[in-house]
Amino acid sequence: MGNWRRKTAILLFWLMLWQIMSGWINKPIYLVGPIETMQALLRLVDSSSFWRAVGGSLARIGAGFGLAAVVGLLCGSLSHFVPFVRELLSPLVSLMKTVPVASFVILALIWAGAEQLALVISFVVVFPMIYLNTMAGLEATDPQLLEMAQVFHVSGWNRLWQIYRPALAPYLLSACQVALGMSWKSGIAAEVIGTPEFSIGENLYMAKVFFSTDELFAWTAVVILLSVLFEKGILWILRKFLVVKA
Amino acid sequence: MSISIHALSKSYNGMPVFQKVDLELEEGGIYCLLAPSGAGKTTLFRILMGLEQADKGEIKGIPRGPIAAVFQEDRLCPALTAQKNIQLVHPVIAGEDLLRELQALLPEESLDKPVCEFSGGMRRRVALIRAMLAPGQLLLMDEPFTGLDEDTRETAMEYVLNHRRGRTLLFTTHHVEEAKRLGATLIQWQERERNWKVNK
Repeated sequence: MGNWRRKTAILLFWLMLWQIMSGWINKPIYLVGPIETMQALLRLVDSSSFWRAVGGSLARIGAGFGLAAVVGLLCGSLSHFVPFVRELLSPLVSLMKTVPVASFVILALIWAGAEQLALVISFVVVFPMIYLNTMAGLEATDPQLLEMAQVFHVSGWNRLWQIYRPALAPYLLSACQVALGMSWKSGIAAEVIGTPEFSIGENLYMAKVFFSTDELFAWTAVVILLSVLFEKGILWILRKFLVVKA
Repeated sequence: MSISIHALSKSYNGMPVFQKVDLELEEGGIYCLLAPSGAGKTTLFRILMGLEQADKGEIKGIPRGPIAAVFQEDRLCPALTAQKNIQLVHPVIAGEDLLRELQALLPEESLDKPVCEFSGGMRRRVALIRAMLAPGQLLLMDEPFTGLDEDTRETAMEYVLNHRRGRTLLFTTHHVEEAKRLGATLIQWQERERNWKVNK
């Protein structure tokens, strides 16, 4: 309880400092305070276009993440068991890791248009992380247990579920934790550049065009909140599947 | 079918582990490899299990299908209970039967805990029970009673005798008493020839 109070006090300190700073600067274009941000947020929440933007971005970034997680897991497993697949995919994965997200955004705009931009970008960012960590996790599987399974003729399903899965879990969980945050940040950044209809990115861009810093702050708060909820939700589901119970 | 090993040799980096091993294991017999450390017992076991290849020689009569093994290490899935570890190699056995088997060698309150919370001796007993219940026709055990105290060692040996179901058993140990207690035919290490001979 003491810890909780301490945290609240620290949070309040920074919020107050923020409010004082904004009052001192006294130019809402540069910095709006927490109160104005809250007011802008309440104004936004009241409109249906807010919820369509939130839903649109959430769906696209979520779909990109989900697709990347599934494809990354499948390709990573395949690469572990078939060395040729690993060699084949290696340049592609290196490319995805090193090409700047901004280049991908522009390419995706040319190829696919703005509509599904956030999905493509979220996929491109998440896939290499899941792919590489799947391989690392499978690589870390205890060879002694695998020999045991071979000698006792343990079924393929049991090997997968009881021997490979526990080794994979910590790698996949930490990869997802990083990837979830990254998919949000890069997805929203892509939307700002591509400004697809009904997206958070479009609204951020509009806030910039109209110099409405209070809305910029409000949308940013929305992104932070969604990102935290998204991360917590997905990790909760993953732990259900991945963490081995006795 | 008996198992015959003929002129089996294995070396690592030019250093011979054993040379020209000739052994005949009768079906249903109990055999004990008595050898100092470094005599390649584990290597011989690995070859018998099909995990490694010999350099020369041949082995006939290894039954097809799974082999019931106790490795030098316990090799249990750490997050699973004793039951689940055993069901991994023997999916058919369930419920009451399995519990009865486990209670023969393990304290009852341990049965709902993952084996990573077990003591070394308890894990060893789980590995033993797993091998005895597994469907394999050949039993290979690498120092199966190591890490057990006096009392549990006796119970464990009795358990092995009661659950052998006439299967061929080959095990290793440093203690002659264990071989005697199980009524095993001794197979002794010949340092000069670097191979094993059945002690007649």
